[in-house]
Amino acid sequence: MLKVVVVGHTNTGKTSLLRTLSRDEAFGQVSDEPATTRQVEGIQLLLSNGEPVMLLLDTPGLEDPDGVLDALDRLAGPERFDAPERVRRFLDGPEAATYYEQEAKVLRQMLDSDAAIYVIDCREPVLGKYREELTILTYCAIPVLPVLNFVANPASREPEWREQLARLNLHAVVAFDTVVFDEAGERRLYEKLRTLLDAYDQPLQRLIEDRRQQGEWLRRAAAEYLAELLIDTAGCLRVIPGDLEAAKLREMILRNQDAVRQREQRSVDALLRLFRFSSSHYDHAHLPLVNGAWGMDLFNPDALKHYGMRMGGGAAAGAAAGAAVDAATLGVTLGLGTLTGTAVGAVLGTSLPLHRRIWGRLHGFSEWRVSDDTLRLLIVRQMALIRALLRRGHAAQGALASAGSPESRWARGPLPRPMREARLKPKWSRLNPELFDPTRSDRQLAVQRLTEELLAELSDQEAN
Amino acid sequence: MTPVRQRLVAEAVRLEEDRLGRILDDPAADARARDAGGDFEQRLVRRAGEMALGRRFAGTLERLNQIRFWLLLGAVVLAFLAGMGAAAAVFGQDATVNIGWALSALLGLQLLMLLLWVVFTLYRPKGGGGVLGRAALAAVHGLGRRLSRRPESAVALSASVGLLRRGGLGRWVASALTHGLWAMFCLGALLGAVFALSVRQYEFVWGTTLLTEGSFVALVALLGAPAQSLGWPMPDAEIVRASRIGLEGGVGRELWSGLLLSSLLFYGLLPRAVLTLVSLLLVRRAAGRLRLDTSLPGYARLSDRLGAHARSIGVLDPRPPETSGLEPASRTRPAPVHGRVLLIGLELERGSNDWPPRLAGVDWITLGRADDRSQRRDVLSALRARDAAPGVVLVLCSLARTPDRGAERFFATVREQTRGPVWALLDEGGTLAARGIERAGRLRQWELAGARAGLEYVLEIDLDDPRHPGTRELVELVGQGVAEE
Repeated sequence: MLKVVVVGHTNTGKTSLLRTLSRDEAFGQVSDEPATTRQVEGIQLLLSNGEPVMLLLDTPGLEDPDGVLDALDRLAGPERFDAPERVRRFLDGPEAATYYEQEAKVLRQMLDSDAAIYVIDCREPVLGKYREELTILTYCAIPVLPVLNFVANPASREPEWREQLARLNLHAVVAFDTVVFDEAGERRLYEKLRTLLDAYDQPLQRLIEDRRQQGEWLRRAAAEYLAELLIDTAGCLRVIPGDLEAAKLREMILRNQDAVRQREQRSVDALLRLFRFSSSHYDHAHLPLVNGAWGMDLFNPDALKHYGMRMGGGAAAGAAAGAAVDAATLGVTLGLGTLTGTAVGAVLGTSLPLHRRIWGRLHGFSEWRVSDDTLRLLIVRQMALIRALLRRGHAAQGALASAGSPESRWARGPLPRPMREARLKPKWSRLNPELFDPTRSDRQLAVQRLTEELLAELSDQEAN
Repeated sequence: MTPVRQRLVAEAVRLEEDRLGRILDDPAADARARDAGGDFEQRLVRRAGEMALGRRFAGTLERLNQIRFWLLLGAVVLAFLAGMGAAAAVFGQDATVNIGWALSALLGLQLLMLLLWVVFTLYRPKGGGGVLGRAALAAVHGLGRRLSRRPESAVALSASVGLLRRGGLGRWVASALTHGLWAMFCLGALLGAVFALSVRQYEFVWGTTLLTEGSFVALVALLGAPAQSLGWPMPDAEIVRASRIGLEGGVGRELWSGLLLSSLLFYGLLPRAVLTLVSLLLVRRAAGRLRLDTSLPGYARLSDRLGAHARSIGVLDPRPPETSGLEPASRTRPAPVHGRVLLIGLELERGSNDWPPRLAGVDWITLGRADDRSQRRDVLSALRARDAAPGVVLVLCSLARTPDRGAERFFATVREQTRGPVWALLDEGGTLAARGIERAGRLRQWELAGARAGLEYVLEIDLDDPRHPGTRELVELVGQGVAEE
């Protein structure tokens, strides 16, 4: 099996890289101390079906390349051993067991591996010791792939490093932030390894394909969570007695809003769990969330503005059904009372049994729904969250939190068709517990179609 | 459990999770599914089977299957009895049997239905399967729902309905039912006819008002053809003409009854039996190919749980025994220095423009920077060249670096090569802060490194900030030093 040893100076993130590649947050030990890893520990990367493809070895940091180089130079001697032979002799020598015990551990694995990944903290200047380390590594005569860690950091000196690595004849370099998950970066890393390791082309290809598929499932799952949220919210329906006094009405609306808010939070929680975001392993600063929740309330008119949308911006679509959006109702539509005769059929066509509808009309009941604007806001900001979760680690993250997302076609145009359908199908919505019927195949189909639409939007924006 | 049953269980679990609106946590089932391997769909099936809920559904499906079995048995018996009944109606008390009437009663309807089935199967591939089979399936489902009132049954039944839509499975199940029931009907009719013809004597006649005699002759020839090819005697044109209503009866009784029975066999029972078998084979094939539709909501989110990513193989080369813990160098402030102040820069962030650094009130001799091997050699030989004991040797380090054994060894070498005290100055705390790393921890690491190397003092300073307490302390300590004696 392909054996790749992960090496680097102390405290550059070797163990973090292994954790990220293996998706195993419990692997090894990570801290900001030098020499946290003092042993060689292995982890096999598996395909989804459990088949192992690659063995990755975590090693202690190289800390004293100066001393090791001195020792290797001394071994060059009159016999003119070649470099790997010198390393071998160094490992057999007394120093390898004592003074350079940690470095010897690394070199021993180097001689026994197919390739090495050299992890670089590219916030660091290209110091002499790093060049010396790379020199020692090239002595072991296996391909070395430098991985630039912390490239997203403003203090990154990526160009400087790339230039220096080219001078050391290391032209295959890959940038990959280890503390954040980045699917494309991971793929680049494996692709680079593939170019270096001809004999392992097949297994690496399969690993790349497998991880791509996993990424696709992840995207689909995220889109699906959002689709369910949108269908639930679009189909949310409450019947409100028309003769309710103002205070009671307000209280009722607030309670209904709360139900919708909680539904959104459940979706956010599910997304964070899906992306394994609960752990401290990932950088929360990249998300447009405050402590795992949206800072801006869903029903706050300012939230619309925040996302570059206007109140009533989508009213045209709503108006087709005769529903008016009133700012005073805080992002909800109070229907029926404001509906014209013909529109009643259009909006309520299939929402309630006929007898209840007529009964409701006679008794002056009105219906409470979530407004189109609020639905738009839901789509736009949940999509922003999913994109942030997918693209963690990329440079321009700061802007995400306030992204107006004018690119989203749902900020203005008609809502996706399955959502418009859900408007008329209270049975599809979990927010109507007494009506909700999960076994309905039309609901399932709507969720599926909306998922596809959201996925298409996600991949469109990724392509841009 | 059959593959179809396993997938039914998986569908039922998915529907139940969909109803609850969350994934049911069962780490043991997830782990077993991961260990079992296979593609995502197989792992999904495995997970469902291993879950407690899945086992409950399997039990429910088993019970539903029993109900279905009895219902089907009932339907089969009914079909058989219907066939017998049809035969009894045709061969009633009347001793004269109208051949055309008997044939259309026993064969006509079901041949028409067969035609309909062909049309449905050819032109409506999704909805095909035969009217009778569809109706029977619906009846079985409906009755199943009524007979088993547990909540799980409803979920299991809708899982079945969903799964039957996939891969033509439902169509062929319905087809098999359609043909099977018609075959039973034909069998009943055949046996009924054999019985009636065995114990009673009938006169066979025929008549037509609209059609010609020739067309009836042709029809008889067509119906009799399969049996005739097997060597059974069939009524020929003479006998057909002779049996017309109004002529003397009783012509070719055996031949007519042979025609009736053989056409029931060859145009009723056999085709239906063959089609039943073919449908059953197609059901088997569809069942064998049946896969879950993993794009259904609820499956994708399980991918991460069910996908293996890595397996730790443990420690290959164990850590060395811990060296005895050293306390950081004492923070007791040394006495002010009066001799020469030598300065070495170790792996600093600052560029060559900022070197040597200046500090108001302090006059130091810079020995150089020790960033790589040759520089270190130069710095150390410069240090040795100034053989007289200096007032102090300052090693200016960067807090942005992690103190490593290389730095420690350099400290130790400097310590070895000079008789004066050696202090480490930790500068560039700002860079550390910009990286968001905790300062206190890093400081302690440097102090430990200094202590291990035998340095006299470790002091955090900020050369860019003269008001920094460490910088002020440094000025106080070495401000009286001299650059050259």
